[in-house]
Amino acid sequence: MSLWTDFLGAEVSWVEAGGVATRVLAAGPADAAPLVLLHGRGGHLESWRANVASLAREHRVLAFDLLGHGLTGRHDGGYGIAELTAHAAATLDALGVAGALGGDAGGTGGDRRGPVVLAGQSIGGWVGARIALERPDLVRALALIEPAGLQSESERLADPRVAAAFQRGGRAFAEPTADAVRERLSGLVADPAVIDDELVETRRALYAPEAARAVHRAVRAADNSAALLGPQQLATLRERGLPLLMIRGEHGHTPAQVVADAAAAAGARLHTLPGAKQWPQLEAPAAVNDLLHDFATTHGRT
Amino acid sequence: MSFWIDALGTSVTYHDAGGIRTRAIEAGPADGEVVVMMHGLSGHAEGFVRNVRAFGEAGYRVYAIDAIGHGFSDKPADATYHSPLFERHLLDFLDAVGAERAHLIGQSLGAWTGWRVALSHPERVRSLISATGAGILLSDAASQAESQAIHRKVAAVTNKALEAPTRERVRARLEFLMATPESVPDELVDTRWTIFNLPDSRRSMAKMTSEQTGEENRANLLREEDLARTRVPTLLVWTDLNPTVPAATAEKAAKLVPGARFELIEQAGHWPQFEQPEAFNRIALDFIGSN
Repeated sequence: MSLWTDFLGAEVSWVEAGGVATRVLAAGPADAAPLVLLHGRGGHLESWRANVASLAREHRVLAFDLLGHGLTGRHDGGYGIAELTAHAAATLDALGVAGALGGDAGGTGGDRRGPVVLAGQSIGGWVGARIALERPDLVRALALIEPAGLQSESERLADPRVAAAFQRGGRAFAEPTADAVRERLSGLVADPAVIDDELVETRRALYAPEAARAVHRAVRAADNSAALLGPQQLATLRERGLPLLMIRGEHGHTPAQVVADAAAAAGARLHTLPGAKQWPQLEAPAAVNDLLHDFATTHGRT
Repeated sequence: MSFWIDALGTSVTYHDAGGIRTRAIEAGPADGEVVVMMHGLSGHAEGFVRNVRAFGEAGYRVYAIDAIGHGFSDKPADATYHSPLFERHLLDFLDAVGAERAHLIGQSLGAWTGWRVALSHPERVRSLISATGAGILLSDAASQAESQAIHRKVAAVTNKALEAPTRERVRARLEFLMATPESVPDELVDTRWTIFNLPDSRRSMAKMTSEQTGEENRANLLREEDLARTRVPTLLVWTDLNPTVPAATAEKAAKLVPGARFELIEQAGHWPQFEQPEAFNRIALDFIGSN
């Protein structure tokens, strides 16, 4: 019923990742298999408020703020997918997931899978897929929730519904009034009732510094054409045998056919959640938690 | 407007204090003077959720901790929950965070613990704030009777919430503390309800309360001669509507402590730091800044 009680008992701390102080929330048994949650565009780890406690019953849940997002520090460079990916991978390294948590990557046997089950929403999914491509030693299985990166920016914005949402959502990055932030958050979900005042006020506090909003504008403006998850990248994930789960909302912005084609190309199991839009982890938490729990239990480090 | 927003920018971490896993809400620069905030009987670090960030922003390294037997800290079943156990845990926590000296801010039981440490280890204590502190026993007959009545009342209301920790009983215990029921937000009730229903709470907290408020532990009360031999800068912060020791008794006690200050916060009950956080932070920061 409140963010504090949603995350009650969890640890919140900052780790240095590539010179950037990175906010990490950790919950669940310290010796359980790690399940890492990566939030979406304009987001922060509070996006996982409805998931952490449930998943932490059996997994070591680690949720962190991406580079420049939430309460993670900013850097002097750009904010493209490449930079977000490098920082997220550095965070996993800093968390010691491969060592202390017992990953078997680099072992002498045939098992070259990494230690972590990664789950990412929106650009968090895109970043997760890029980590799987570039740092296979870190990733054991990958869950993509309404992932970004399946379409180019011009393709995406050719849909008038998406273009309108993009415009409306951008207001919060100019001036973070309660109205603008609520409108941005409401645009992510089919039923705005799931967006409560506390989430709006939390995001307002996080967007309050001009430098924070500048990051979000830079994330939007970045040219990520070289980092897209095209047929070749998706085929690479399939050829490596990476277990892949895709979750989309029935009303999500990415066309159903685009998602279905991507899932087929990557060899992913695809679930469409009825009634949900871009934030199924908050709109349909029980279904998402069940899917992630089963996926992480089946494919996570034992 | 909510605990999470009040605490944005703070950490929640667990420390090994002499083998006791100890939760802390913490903030502030690593090289700042250490401040430790300690809650009352059956409480938890959330009692200081409106204070931690302000002290961090003022440059202190601040830790609001769950005492042994409380909150999300370990609650050993075989311990005897008298004052020396809480004192040992506080000293072990100071060691765990590498603090040779610290400013101690205690509310109710937390103040009692802090004061005992200020007497036994004055070299570890930069200053002491007793906020509606427990444990003070003046010598006159009226004060003695008042003290015993308070211990019985606290034990009764606490046991009622612990023996059957429903949300209603937890809320009733919290409303007993505050000047007005509106000062008890639902998330405080939910937080405490969750804690009281943890398996180790169900096992140990009733025993802890009964021992802490019990007859044997009265040997550890702060008597007039203890107040007079206090050698650290001391502030007593009281309230006009405290449900335990009245402000007049506390003011009399303050006069027995060499150099002590006394401050009254109005429109507050037993949790001035939570009910009137701005006034409390201003008074407490001014005091520790001058020491």
